[in-house]
Amino acid sequence: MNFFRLARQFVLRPLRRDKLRSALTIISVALGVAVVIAVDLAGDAATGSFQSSMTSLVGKVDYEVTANGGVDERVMAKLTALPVNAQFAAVIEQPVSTIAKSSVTMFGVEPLTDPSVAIVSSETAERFGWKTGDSVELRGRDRTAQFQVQKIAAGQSVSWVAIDIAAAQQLLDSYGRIDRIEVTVDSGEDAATVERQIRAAAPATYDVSTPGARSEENQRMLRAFRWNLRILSYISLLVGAFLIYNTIAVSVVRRRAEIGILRAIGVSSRGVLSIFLGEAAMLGVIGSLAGIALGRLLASGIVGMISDTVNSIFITSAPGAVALSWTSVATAVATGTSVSVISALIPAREAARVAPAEAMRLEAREHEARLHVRRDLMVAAVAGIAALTLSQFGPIGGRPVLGYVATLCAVTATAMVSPAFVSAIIRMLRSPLTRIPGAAGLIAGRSLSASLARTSIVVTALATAIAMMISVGIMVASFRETVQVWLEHQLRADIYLRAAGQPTAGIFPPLAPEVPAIIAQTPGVEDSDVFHAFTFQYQGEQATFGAGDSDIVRRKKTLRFLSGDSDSILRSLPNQDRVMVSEPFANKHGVHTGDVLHIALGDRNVAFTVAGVYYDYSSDRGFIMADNTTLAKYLPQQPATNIAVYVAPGANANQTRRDLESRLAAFPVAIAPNETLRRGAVEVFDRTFAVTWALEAIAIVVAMLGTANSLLALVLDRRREIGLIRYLGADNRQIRRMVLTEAGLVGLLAAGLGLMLGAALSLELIYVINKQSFGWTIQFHPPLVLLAGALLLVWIFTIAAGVYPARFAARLQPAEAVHEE
Amino acid sequence: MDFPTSGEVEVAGLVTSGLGDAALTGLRRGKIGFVFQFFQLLPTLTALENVELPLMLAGARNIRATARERLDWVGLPEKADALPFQLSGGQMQRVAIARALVHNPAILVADEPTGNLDTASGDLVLRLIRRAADEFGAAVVMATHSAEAAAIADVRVRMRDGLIESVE
Repeated sequence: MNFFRLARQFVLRPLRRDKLRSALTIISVALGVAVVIAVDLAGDAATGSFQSSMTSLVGKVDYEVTANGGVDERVMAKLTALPVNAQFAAVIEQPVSTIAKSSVTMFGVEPLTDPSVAIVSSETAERFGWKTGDSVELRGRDRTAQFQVQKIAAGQSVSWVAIDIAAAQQLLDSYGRIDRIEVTVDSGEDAATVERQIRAAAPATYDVSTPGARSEENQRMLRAFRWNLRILSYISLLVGAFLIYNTIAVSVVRRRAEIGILRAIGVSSRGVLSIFLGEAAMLGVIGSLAGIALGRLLASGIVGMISDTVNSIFITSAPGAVALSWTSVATAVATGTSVSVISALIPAREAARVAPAEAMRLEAREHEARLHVRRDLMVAAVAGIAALTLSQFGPIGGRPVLGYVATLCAVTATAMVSPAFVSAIIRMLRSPLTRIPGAAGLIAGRSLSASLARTSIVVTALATAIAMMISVGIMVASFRETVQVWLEHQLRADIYLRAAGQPTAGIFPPLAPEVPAIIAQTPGVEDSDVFHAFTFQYQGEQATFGAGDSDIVRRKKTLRFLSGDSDSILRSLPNQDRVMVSEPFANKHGVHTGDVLHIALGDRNVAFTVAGVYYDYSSDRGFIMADNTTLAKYLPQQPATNIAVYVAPGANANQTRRDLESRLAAFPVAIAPNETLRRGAVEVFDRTFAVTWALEAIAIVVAMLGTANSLLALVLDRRREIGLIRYLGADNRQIRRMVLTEAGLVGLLAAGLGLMLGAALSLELIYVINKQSFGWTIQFHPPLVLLAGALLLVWIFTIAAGVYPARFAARLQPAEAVHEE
Repeated sequence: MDFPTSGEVEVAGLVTSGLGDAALTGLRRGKIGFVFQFFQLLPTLTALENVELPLMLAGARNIRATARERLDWVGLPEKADALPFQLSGGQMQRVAIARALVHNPAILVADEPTGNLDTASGDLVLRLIRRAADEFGAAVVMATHSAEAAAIADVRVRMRDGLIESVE
C-alpha cells in the first residue's frame, strides 16, 4: 500500500472538505508560533545593539580598559609606554544635549585632527536635520561649544556625535578623566601577552575585558526579563497545543468508521498512527509558516514596546532592525510542528487502537473519557503536589526554572481536573438550565457533558488563557500597588532636579558643580539632598552606586528597611565604610546585613559593611548606597547627578520651583515637581507592562478561535441531532440559542476553572518567579473589579465565538441532516 | 421538511411551498408528529425528556404531566428516567411514538416505523400507531415495505419507482 497516497486521500481530503475548521486550527497554531517568534525577534532587536556603534568608526577593538568612577588619564600614558605592539585609544562616551535640549550620545575620540569638527551618525543627522558643513551647538554640563559637521557616518541606526577627546573633556569639565581605553592588538602580536602587560600596568581595581563581554553582561542583565516574556509567549503556544489535540481528536472520532474500514482492508495500526500524526504535522507546518510571517509583522509592532521597557528600567539601547534569521525560521517550524505532533499523539494512538469491528460504534470514545475521570483526578493531585513542592526551591543559575516547571504542573493539574469539574458543574446547573426557554439549556448542558472529553479540552484551553490573563493581571496590579505605596514613601521631596535630557536607566548625566550651592541659597529651600550615582561592576553584573545625605533620608523617612531600625542604620553611615543595599541587589548577590562587600572605587579596593537592606522598586540592577561623606573619601571628584529639594514649611513650593528655574536657567537641568516625577514613574511602570498585555490579548484570541473551532465541530458532529430537533418543532432562533447557550456554558466553565488556576499562578508569579527573577517583594493586591470586568468581557467574547457555529447550525437543512441510510 | 420536485404539498389547506421558515416551523410544532425508522431519540436526554421536547420547543404549559401521560399511554411509565441506550429497540420506538403524539398533532408521519424491529416489537408499535389514529384522531401517514404494517391502514397507496401504482 502506498502510504503517501493513502495519506493524501485520508488527510488532505478531509482537511479540504472542512476548510473552515482546518483554517481555524491553522490560525491557532500560527498565532501561537507568531507570538513566540515575535517576542524572540523583538527581544533580539531591542537588546541586541548594545555594542557601541562607534566600533564601525574606530575599527576592531580587542580589549577595553574601564574603572568604576572613570579611568584616570595618567593610566593611558602608562599603557602607551608599554613595550607591546598595540594601539591605545582613549574614549569618552557621555550624553550631551543639543540646542533643542534633546539628548544625544557624545563620543570623545582621538583620531580627529581638528578640535572644532564633529562626525555625526546618519540617525543624528536625520533627527536634527544636520548637513555636512553645518555649525552645531553641543551643551555639556555648564558649557556649550560650536562644532562643524565634517562628515555624516552613513547607515547608522543609533544617534551619536563624535568629537575630539580634548574638546569633549573641555565640554564636560572632566579633565584628566576618560571613560575607557580601547586597545587594538597589532597583527603578529600575542593578544594574551598584551592583556597580561595591561593588567600589570593598570591599577588592580581596573577592569580589562573584551568588548563583547560588556554586551554579554548587558544581555545577562536582561536575561530574567526576556525569559519571563518568552515563557509568557509559550503559553499561547500551549493554548494552541490544546486546540491541535482537540482537532485531531475530533477527526479521529469522526473518522472512526473509516479507520475501521482501513484496518479491515489491511492497514497496520502503525499506519493509522502515522496518518493522524501526519495530519497534525501538516497542520503544524502550515501553521508555523503562517506564524513566521505573522510573527515578523508582530515583532515590528512590539519592538518599540520592549525597547521602551529595556531603556526605562534596564539599560540604554537603541532598537536595531528586526532580523529574521534562517535559524529562527527553522526553530519556529520545528517548535510549531513538534507541538502539533506531540499534542496529536494521544488521539492518534487511540485511532491506532481502533479494532475493525469497534470502528462502527460512535459513542465508545466519549464513554472511555468518562471512565478515566478517577485516574485523571489522581494525576491532577500528583501534579498539584509537584507544583507546590517545586515552588519551595530556589532559583537555578539565577533563573526560576523550577518555578516555570511548577507553572506547567499547575496547568497539567487543571487539564486533568477539567473533565470532573465540567461534569460536576453541569450537573449542578441542571435545574437552572432547564429554565432557559425552548429546551436550549437542557440540550446544551446535556450535549456538553455527553462529549465530555472534547468539552473539557476546550474548557482547559480557554481556562489556561484566562488563567494567564488573571495571574498576570493580579501580579501587575499587585506590583503597581506596591510600587505606588513605595513611591509615597520614597518621593517625599517637593522638587527634583537632574541633568536635562531623556532619562535612561544606567546613565547618570552629571550636574554642573555650581548647581548644589545655587539651590542651597534659594529662598524657601529647607533641605537639599545631593545625590551622586554611577554605574559600577559587582560580581560581573552592573549595579548602581549611589551616595546621598543619610541625615536627610533619616529625618524624612524616605527609606524602608526589610529589618532593623532605620534610624540607627542611617545614623551609622556617615564617614564610615558602611552601605545600604537595595532588596534586588541583596537577592541577586545573596547579600545580608552585616556582610562585607569589596568594591573597587577609582584605584582603591574598599571593604564596605552592609548596614541594612531597603525596599526599592526603581530598577532590578540593584543599588548600593553610601553617605556622601564616605564617597568623598574615595572619589572626591564624583559629580552630583540628582538633587531632591525639600521646601521649608510655610513656603510656596511652586514659587520656590519658579525661583530655582530662573536661577538655574543657564544650566541644562530638568526641574520637576513631586507629582510629575510620581506620575512619570507610574507611566514607566505601565509602559513596561504594555507588551505583557499585548501577549495576553493574543492568547485570549487563540483561545477564542479554539472555542469557535470546537463549537463548530460539536455542531458538525450533531448535524443529525440538530436536524431532528428541527423536525420536532424548533425554529432557527431556538437552534441558534442552543449553540450560543453551549458557548456561554463553555465560557462559564472556563472562567471558573481559569479563575482558580489564575489565582494559583498569580501566587507563583508574585512569590516565586518574580522574586527569583528580579528580587522584588510584591504585596498581594488582587484588582477585583478589573478582574470581574475582564472575565465578563472574555465571557461575552466566548459567546461571540459561538455566533458563527450557531448560524451554521441554524442553516442546516433538517431533511438532509436526518437522512437515514 | 423536504420540498417536492414537482407538484405541491398541502397541509390543512396550506400550500407548504408558499410558507416561510417560521410558518413551516409553526406547522411542525402544532400539526405534525414524526416517527422514524431509527427512532431518533436524543441520546443525552432521558425517555421522559425526549417526550417533553416538542412541548418545550413550542413553549407549552403543563409539559411534565402531558409527557408522563403519553409515556403511560405507550406503556413505559417505569422507563421515564432511562437513557435511550438503556432501552430496547421496541421501547425506543414506543418512546418515539409518545414524543410524536405529545402535542396532539393532526398528522402523524411514520417512516418505516417497524423496519428496525423484531416482529413482536413491530406488532406492538403497529398497534400503538393504529390506536393513535383511533384515540387521538391523528391522520397517520406511514411509509413501509412491510405488508403487515400496511395492513393496519385504512387507505393504502402502493408505489413503485417513485410512481403511484394503486390506491386501495
